[in-house]
Amino acid sequence: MRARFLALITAILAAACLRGDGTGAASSVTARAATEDAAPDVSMAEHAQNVATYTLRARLDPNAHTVHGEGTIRWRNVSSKPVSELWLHLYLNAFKNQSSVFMRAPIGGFRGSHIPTDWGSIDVKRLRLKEPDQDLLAKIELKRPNDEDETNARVPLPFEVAPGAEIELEVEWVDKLPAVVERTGYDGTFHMVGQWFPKIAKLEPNGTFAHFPFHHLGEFYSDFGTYDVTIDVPAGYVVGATGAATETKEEGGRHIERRVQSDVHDFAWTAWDKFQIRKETIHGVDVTALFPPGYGDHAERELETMRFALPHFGARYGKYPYPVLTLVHPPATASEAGGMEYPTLITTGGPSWLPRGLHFVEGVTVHEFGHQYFYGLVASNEDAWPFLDEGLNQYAENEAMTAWKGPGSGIDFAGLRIGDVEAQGVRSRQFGHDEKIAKGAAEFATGSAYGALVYSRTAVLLETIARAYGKAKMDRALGVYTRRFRFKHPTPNDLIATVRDEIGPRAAENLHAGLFEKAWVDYAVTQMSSHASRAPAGMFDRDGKRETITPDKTTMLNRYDGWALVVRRGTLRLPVEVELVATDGTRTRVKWDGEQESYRIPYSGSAALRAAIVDPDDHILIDDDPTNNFAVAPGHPTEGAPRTLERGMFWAATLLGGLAP
Amino acid sequence: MTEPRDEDAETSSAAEESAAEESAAAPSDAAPPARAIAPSEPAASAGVLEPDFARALGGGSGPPRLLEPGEIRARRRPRAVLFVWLWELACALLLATPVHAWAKAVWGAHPDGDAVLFRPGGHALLTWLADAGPALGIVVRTTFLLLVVFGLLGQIVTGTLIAFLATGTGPRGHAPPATFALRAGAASFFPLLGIGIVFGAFEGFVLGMGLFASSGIDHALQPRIGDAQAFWARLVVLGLFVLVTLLVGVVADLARVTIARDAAMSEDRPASMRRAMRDGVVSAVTTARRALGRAALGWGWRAALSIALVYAGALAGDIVGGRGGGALWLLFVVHQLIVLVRAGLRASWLANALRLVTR
Repeated sequence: MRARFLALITAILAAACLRGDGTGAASSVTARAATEDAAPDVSMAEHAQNVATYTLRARLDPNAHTVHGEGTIRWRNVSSKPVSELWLHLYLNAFKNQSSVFMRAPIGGFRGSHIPTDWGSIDVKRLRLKEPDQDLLAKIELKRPNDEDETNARVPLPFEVAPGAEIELEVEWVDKLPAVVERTGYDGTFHMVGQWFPKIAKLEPNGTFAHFPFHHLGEFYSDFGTYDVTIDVPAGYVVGATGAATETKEEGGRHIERRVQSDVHDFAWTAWDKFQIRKETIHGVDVTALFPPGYGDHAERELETMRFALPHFGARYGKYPYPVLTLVHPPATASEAGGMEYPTLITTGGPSWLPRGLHFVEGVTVHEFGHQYFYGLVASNEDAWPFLDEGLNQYAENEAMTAWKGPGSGIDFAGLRIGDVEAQGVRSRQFGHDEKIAKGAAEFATGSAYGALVYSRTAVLLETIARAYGKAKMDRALGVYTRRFRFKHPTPNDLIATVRDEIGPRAAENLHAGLFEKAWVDYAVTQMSSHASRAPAGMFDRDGKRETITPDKTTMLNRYDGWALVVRRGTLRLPVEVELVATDGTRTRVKWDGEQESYRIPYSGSAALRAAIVDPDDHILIDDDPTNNFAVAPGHPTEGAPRTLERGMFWAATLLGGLAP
Repeated sequence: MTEPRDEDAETSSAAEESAAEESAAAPSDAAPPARAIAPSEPAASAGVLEPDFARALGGGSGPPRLLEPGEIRARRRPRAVLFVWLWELACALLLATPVHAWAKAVWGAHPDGDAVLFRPGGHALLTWLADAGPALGIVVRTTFLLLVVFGLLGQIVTGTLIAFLATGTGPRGHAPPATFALRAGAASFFPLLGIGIVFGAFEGFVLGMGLFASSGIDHALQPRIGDAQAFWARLVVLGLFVLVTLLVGVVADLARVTIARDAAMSEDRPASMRRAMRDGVVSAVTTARRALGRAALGWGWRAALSIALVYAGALAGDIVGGRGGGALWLLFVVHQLIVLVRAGLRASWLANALRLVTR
């Protein structure tokens, strides 16, 4: 409670400072530290560079599951080079047929691995350039040679757009939503509408577009802009969408909402005639929870999560800058739409019967909200460097859930307390030697490897560095990173440079090696020895006389001397503690910087050395094999496993007799 | 836990019977007469041998006879309950051996031993299970195999317990000789196994139907009332089928006690397996038609108490956590007391079932 209270105070102070600085015309503000470690003084952009302004109108036909869209896109060349083409992402075409890149990828082990029961598509009906008025649709290149994929379209422009110049496009299109798959689609009257409009690919500073087809494992990357979207659905439907509602009306049996939001790089919405609604202002943000009938308890859990997460993330990664946040809990039959992030709108999930001790609802809510920072505000290239979003966000989720729920942050049920981060630790070892973390989403061999490496191993690597060098330093490093690169689309080098500055060069080297070189580590205790000490034997000149002491006549010194040998296998060099345990129960801790491949730790004590443990507090969560982190000296009895035997006997007897007589 | 040895004690014991158990029983404060179906063979053929062992298990003298309903009390067979507990203790030790050996091999050399498996967060526990390699499969299969073997052999123990409960010697109905009960248990092995398979299959069928029906209702209701409410409807429907399954289990126990009782009293001329099973089922169904409510009630409150005890045991384990030494020994005692009381409840229910089928 104390930590939550401090976090709340911290965030309130930070918010006050932001409001104070934001009244002027300056383009950046300084987020004041709420605690010295967690919220550093770093320049943080107040607004993003506005590259694309989408003014769109969307009309939903819930029976045909189509969306008719039209509007204008105003786009500015913010690069240093003239641009003679545009790239449009038409991602609903990923679900058009089995020839799309998405459908062709022979990848299992991750979400969206099933063929949709109803196909989806986006058909552009009109694409005109205004001023000069010119049709662009005729020249659009939907496909590449020998490739049927239609998610990545090239649009040649009739002239070069100079740096700093703007163009305006008129666009009209029709979406056929798929049966819910990979975060979007319909299920009955429920509609989750994501990746639904023709979207201009991200323009890089060098004048090239970061364009790519919709891959099975890939996510998104776009320029910031302003979205002004009017959503038109049948009366009785409840709408959730990116941004705040600026206008709402009922007209001709239709419900019409206008949503406007700047400083975002995507827009998603949902409509369902069965949504229940709860609203609450949390930490200055209007939070709306949309949920199916009977999920009131889950909605409360999600709002409760946001009461913790908004101030917690705000203190660590900078204030959440938008006035609204919508939490969408999809119906159980549309769970594939759950667990996804869009600007100011996240989808959660979890079956209605999920007990409170299983923190899935809380975990997924924290996770998707964390994306508001790493996907939403920092906005790194998720296709090229998915770990920069999912990995950092997984670390942030683990950190937040542990701060909130303690050691049972994942499961605290029936006496079993499993931590979120500990679960990631196990998963992170599964593919650590197979593939590197830092590569494009499409390069991973399987969805399982993608999940284990991008999410878990990145998070565990960061957690290990945090534990090895100090959690406060890692909090500070990520606080600097998320503030300094807000709206800036950082790369891995930006992250590593920040870690170098804030934690140190060795930490940065370990991070780089762990991300790019499949680096690993396995600490182990391999040998140890101790013996009763005796005074030295030999010839000694004392008081003018020479005295010879044979080894069997030496004096016992009432002391034991010895050593323990610990080794470091692998290429990560992390500082670690070693605990030496004497037969009288005395425990001594020694620090080892982990730079060498082995370390013979001297021992001296009043009792014999019985055992040694390297990393007794499990700081090196990324350790390849924690079961060789300890050993008992030869000749000494082991502790054994009496607790397992006792519990095993009780439960075996229970199983044998059945639960009932 | 000492068995009453004199008439006064027995009178006192009988007077303490619960009203529910006594509702249909004749007062038993006087020694009842032996029933007509008592074996007519010499004592030796009835199993009154090995007097030391017999005495050790509370065996009396004289030829075993069927007890009157009012005489059938689990509390009068404390050593039989102890015998069941010892059986379960031995089985539990063997069943826990594979997982214990595995834990010891992996974590035994840690200075804190397997206490690390109980640390909050579960780092060692998850590491142990997730990085198990082939060990997990070997341990699970070995344990399952042992469970099957002990489950099969347990039929003899159940038969023996029922024989202890159903029969007695002398006018006071002292416990029959252990060898007699054990032989009866062994004789009832195959019929009890057959009953277990038949009723188990039927229970599985009912449960399967329940899963099928509840799932169908869930899906049918989802579009109208939403998945959350539909799930509750599913639980209600499934609960009804589970209730039927439990009632089938109660009827199975009525058949078991009939089979083991009859096997005990026809040791020299054992019925064929088919006939024993048929008689058991007929008796069980007849009894169920007459007194299913009483049988269900008698089983139900003991089941509830038994589950509560298991929960208490789990809670005690949670409280002790990874502590060793005296706390672990204390937990062992508490857990074994729970196992012992549950064995007593099992005996008490079987005695109840015997009274019902004997009336």
